[in-house]
Amino acid sequence: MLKKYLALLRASWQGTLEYRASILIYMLLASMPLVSLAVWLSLAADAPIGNYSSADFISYYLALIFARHMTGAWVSHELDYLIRQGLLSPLLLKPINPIHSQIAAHISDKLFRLPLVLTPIAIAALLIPGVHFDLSPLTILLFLLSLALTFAIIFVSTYCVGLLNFWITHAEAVSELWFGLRLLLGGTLAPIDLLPAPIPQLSVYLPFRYTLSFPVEIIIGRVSGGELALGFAVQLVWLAIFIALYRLLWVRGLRAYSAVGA
Amino acid sequence: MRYLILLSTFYKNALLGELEYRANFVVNVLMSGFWLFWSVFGLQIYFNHTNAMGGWSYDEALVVVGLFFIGHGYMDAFLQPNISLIGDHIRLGTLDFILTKPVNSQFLASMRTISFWRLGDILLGFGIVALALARLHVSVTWSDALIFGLMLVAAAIMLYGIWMLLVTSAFWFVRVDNITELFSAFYEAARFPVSVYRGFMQILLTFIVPIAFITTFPAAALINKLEPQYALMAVALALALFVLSAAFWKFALRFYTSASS
Amino acid sequence: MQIEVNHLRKYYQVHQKEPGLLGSLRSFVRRKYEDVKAVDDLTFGIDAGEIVGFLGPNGAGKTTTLKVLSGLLYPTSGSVSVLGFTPYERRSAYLKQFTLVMGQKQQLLWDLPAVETFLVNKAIYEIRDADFDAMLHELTELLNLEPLLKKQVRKLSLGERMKCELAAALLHRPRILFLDEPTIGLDVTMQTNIRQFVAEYNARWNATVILTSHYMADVVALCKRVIVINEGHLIYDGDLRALAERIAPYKLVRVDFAQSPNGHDLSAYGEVRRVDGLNVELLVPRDQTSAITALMLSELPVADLTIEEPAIEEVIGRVFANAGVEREASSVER
Repeated sequence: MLKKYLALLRASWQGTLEYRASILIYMLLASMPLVSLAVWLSLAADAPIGNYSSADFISYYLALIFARHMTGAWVSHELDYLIRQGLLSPLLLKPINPIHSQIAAHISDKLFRLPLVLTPIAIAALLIPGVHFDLSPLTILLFLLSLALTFAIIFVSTYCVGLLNFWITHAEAVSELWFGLRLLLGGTLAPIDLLPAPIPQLSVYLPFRYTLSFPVEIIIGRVSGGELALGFAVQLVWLAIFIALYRLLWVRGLRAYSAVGA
Repeated sequence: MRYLILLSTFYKNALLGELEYRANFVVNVLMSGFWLFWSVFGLQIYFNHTNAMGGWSYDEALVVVGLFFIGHGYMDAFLQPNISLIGDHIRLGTLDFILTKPVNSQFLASMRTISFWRLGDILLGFGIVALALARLHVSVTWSDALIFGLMLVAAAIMLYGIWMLLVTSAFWFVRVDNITELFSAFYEAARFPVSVYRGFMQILLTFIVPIAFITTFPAAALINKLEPQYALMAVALALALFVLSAAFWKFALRFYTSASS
Repeated sequence: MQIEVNHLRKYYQVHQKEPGLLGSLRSFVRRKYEDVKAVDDLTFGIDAGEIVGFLGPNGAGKTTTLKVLSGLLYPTSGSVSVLGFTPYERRSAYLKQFTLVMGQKQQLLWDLPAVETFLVNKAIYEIRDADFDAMLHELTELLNLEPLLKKQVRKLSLGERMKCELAAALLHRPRILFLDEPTIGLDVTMQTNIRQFVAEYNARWNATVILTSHYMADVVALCKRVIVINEGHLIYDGDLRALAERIAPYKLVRVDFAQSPNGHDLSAYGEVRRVDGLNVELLVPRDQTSAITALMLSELPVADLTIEEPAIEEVIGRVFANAGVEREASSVER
């Protein structure tokens, strides 16, 4: 399996380099939360908003942009394309589940982005006064762990949305819906604790926080102790739910797919 | 006149094509509803913590949101489907069919089709504008309306120019889908009055990627916030972008016909 | 001369991709380009009403030449004149007088019936109602389009789609037809139909046709004259039959033996092409055909013997084999 993955990664890496121009553009795209940051900064110019000062907002959004780059997934578009064009069939003949080459492609994309994203964010963090992250080794470890889980949730859930193409022709709309809700309730538009009640309270149990906000809260040092443990527990539960959903959709979907003989 | 006939033929085709996929209509209405809710709710979140954003009240900012929808609907209906067609043409080599037709190639390539259901977003946008104006108790004079109309037309031409400039770069980069997404990302900033942004960002969004002229300034025209020089600037900018896009298209064709096989 | 091409050259650059991980990293940083001479010093002329076949292996420069003629490409040097126009200026008056059909690319609107594309082209070419109706009527008859017109293009078979493509391309009654692989991928019957149609169109309107095709049958059926290009150079321009004789100075001799010619070395008479029981095919030098067949009749137990021209497909195949390397198709022609 490891050997297969290395081969897949090698191939993905070449693909990543081939599309470097596109990736640079996607990188700018993922920096869209800067708009939200700009608005919050203008609102927080005179007095802090909630318990966020201007510097807090900057720290929050820098971490968020980093997290977004490291966790993004576009796999529903990919599946949409593969299923509609009938390109999935040849992939099914290979002795490896097609999800693995997608995972490899995403990993190599993250590897490519890491230095490109980390450098400007690190420079900004050093130059802008008041920006601070909790960089103790334990926090960094927890941050990376929750970041990995966040990516897993986004990837598997988007994969599930993509699998809907087996049944419906407008899975793209579902993907848009899922994306929009994540923007709204996952911390991009505003930090979750600035959303109107009872959303912040509910967010602890809803999936949206675990598709972006949670690792960001960790690295800026806003979640600790029992909340932290609860957060990880809920994140793992959601990941398990999405994996179960994936299994179900994949098995049923293949049946539906081969039934029509596509 | 001849071009109007062509345009009506094209749009008739597009409508016929869209009627083929009825579910599209329902899905589009649902998604428009979702993003409308999203935008208004999103604006509400900010105003939960303040009562003015860059000097604009909630209802005033709502006018901007309405214009954001109008602009978005316009791009999705008139520009986006053509842009992806041009991308396909370049990738598949069918641009050759466009270039061998006795019609202006830029017209033929960029006005070929329309996404009818997205016109709904434009209507929705005008609805939001009307609602916000009613809540503001603003009475719009004829001259205000005229300037607003002028600004809208200028905005439409500007967006056309910008999109054409971007898509024309596909002659070199081949994959345009993400180039246009880049602009869409910038356009997100047009949800809010441009005065929200500060320093370099405001200049960038006003003059370099002139999205302030798409939403903020037309909105300002309606609620007596517009400084008149911006109306003139809008016309000049629209003209400049249009001419530039046409020149770039010509240049790109020259490249296409001399560099490719 | 309706079409005049003088010392046409068309060079362009291609991006060289190096293989392997290191290679793609290197081309990530810096891309290498190489000059390709797609067309190199080509000169020919074509009269009104001629049907000319362009022959050559993949990447020989056929499509490039067609594109230059239809104004899609600027020549690197040399001069091209069609109907008195310079193609790359793409004047309306010129564009209205020719058509370009590419077998691998389609202009029909995918989701709509073909007739909708026809109406679009009517508007684009400013065809008058009466002319349009008349032409559509004729094309419908010639191509047997009646049952296809109202069906959505995506529901048509490949061959049906090609017929509609042709109709869409000819509504404005062009005087010159550039047909690039018009029968590619079609079944044999459909190929024949398309061929007959092209011949009919040529005869009816005295239209000039330039045709490229991988199927020699197309060329043999339609073109009296052929222009052979290889690696951008003109190798032959003239009568198809004469080409066959020049490059294939052989005749095909089919022999039915009464009994097995065991003990005789058949290769002494000519190149043995096929042995199938008592039937044998031999290639015999053209100028010695009668002498050799006489010899065979006297020395061998021959029941029957026929002399034929070798299949022209095979002959042309030989040209390209002799002309040398077949270049990579994809990298040169697009």
